[in-house]
Amino acid sequence: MTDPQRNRIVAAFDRELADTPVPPELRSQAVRAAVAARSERRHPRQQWALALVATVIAFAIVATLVLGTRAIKTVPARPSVPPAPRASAGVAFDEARGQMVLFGGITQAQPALDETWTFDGKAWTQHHPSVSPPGRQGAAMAYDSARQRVVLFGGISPAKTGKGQVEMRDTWTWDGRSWREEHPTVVPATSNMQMGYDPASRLLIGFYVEPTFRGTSHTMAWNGSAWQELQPTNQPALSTVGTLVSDGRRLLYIAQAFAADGGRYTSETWSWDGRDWQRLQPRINLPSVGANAVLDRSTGLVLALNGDTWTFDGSTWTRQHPTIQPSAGAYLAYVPALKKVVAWGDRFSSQNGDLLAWDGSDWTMLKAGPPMPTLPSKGWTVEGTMSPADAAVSIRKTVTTAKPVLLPSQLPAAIVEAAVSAGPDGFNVLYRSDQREMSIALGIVVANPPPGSQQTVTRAVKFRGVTAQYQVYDPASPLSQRWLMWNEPGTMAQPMTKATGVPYFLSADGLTDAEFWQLANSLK
Amino acid sequence: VVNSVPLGSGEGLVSAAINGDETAFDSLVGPLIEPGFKLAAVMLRDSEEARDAVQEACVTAWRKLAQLRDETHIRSWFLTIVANQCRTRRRAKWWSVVRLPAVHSAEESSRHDWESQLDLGRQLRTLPDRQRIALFLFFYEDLPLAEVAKILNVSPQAAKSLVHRALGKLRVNMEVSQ
Repeated sequence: MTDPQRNRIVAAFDRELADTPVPPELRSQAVRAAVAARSERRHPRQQWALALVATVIAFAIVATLVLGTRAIKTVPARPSVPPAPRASAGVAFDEARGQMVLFGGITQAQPALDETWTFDGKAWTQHHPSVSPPGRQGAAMAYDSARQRVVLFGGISPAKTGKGQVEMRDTWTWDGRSWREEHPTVVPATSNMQMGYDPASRLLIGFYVEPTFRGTSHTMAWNGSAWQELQPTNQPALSTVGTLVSDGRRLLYIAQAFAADGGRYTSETWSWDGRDWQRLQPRINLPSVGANAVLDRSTGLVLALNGDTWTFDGSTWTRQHPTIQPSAGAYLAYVPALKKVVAWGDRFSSQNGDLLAWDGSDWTMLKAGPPMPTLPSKGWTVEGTMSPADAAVSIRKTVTTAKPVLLPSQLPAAIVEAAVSAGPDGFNVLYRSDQREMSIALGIVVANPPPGSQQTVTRAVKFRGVTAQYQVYDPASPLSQRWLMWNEPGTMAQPMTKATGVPYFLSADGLTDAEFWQLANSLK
Repeated sequence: VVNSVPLGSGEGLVSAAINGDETAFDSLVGPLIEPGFKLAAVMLRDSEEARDAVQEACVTAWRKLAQLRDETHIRSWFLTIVANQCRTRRRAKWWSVVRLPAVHSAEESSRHDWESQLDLGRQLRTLPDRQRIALFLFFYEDLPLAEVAKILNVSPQAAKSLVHRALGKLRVNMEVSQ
């Protein structure tokens, strides 16, 4: 499979087939048509079938009378006890067997599970294979379509001494029944790798960035028996965390930003053409907050979660507007039996066991997990997401002991919603545009903003009669993140700082300098 | 009865599907729709025709599921049905006469000649159908020659010969192993 000439032929077919993509609805249509056609043929057999059923029932009655109840036991329904909620598990969808496979993770009781679970759209099954990878968290898992195996790599295990952790660099494959440890001669030099199947090269691609300052990026390929480091000309280098996902024709890497890029925190979307990485330029970028992603085969769109639900059609990310929302870290898989994407649990939480399904436009709760404990509020309550006008009413009603309460009288037209948390002596409101390309945070808070970079400019400015601090992360970028911090003359019941006045913080992302000051000067 | 059949194993899925379980049938055949469609697209060179061929193949597969002797061979079994459907459609619509010359114009060919990869694609399109399909099944679908032979309804030796002759025409020097 690694023979370059063989790959050329495969790539030539790929190019030819790119003109005739598989219609996303073909699978469901074809299966339904087949079922409907067969139903028509079944009618002539009905009488025969009824006779058979009658015979079986008669036999069952006689057997019951003769043998008594002890001899006939009802067959229990398929047990479907879901796994305990777990963070940092590995998940992949086993296409050959139509099952989501879940391995490892952390529960509140165990730091590194070695459990293997599958979910087929109807029921969870815990497997007990005789050989299994050692327990771990953070393993990379992906389905190797060419070889019809789930591949697991790396992760972190507790040290046998009981102190510290061990970085795992082992490779395992799952065939639906058992795990097998592979013994490649070359091993990726990491325990924290993203993996995804590349339909173009028919190889499993692994990608990681060395966890050092400006660490080197590495692209690895798994051919079923060996890892090989590839040498692309371009590589994503933004972060050590990202998501590899196939859009059905090519492999995408959604790189999560841990540093502002051009003064803004957004993700980068890259595509792999079998030889090289290319950074795509979506019309709207996915905001950068820990996205999980999967290909929704019903719609042919890539689905991503980051607190919102997003889809990618190859040219732009689009925020969807579901009525309920899974957590940003939910484990995702497209389950053909349901013809839906399912989201289970949370890779960032060992307390979330909710199971939801995405039908292309909305999420529905299939099965709620155990109740989640509520976080201590410190006197503030999360008042939810609402319109900016409702947010103003809510804040002015809730904040009663801090004065003055300043809110913008003029917001950019793109701002459509506000998420509010507030108490009598303070508040925080986050205004956002529909597609999240613009966000504004304002509050009575003692802010501790992160330091800027080399190009960051921080200066003192006169604002509302006091001296304020104004910072622009990257003045060369017109829409750079920027913030303003000042002590507004006023009073509060429990002063947050020794300085007099009420501490205010205003920050914005996606606004020009002029728009930012227009906003700041509209505070009333 | 259907719901109590343990899904997950191939055998259980086949039994459940034979008993009328749509979900089991979808689990079995669903993952093969994509390779089936690609095979049909390569054979028919027309998206709509490929789509119809796969739907017909799906109906046939559902009806003939009881004839599937070994569920581990379901991939080549289904692709054989798809290939048969394509042959039937091609015979009915004289594809080889109309479609082949229209695939690439001379202008397009000269424009792309400079790039060998695209040149390979052009050569692939001009191969005789049986050689083209043999290459597709052997290299793209990664099927062993024995299964390629079944789908093409020829002996394994003939399948190997088809692959060799195709590679010869493409001037690609490769070893073909069983």
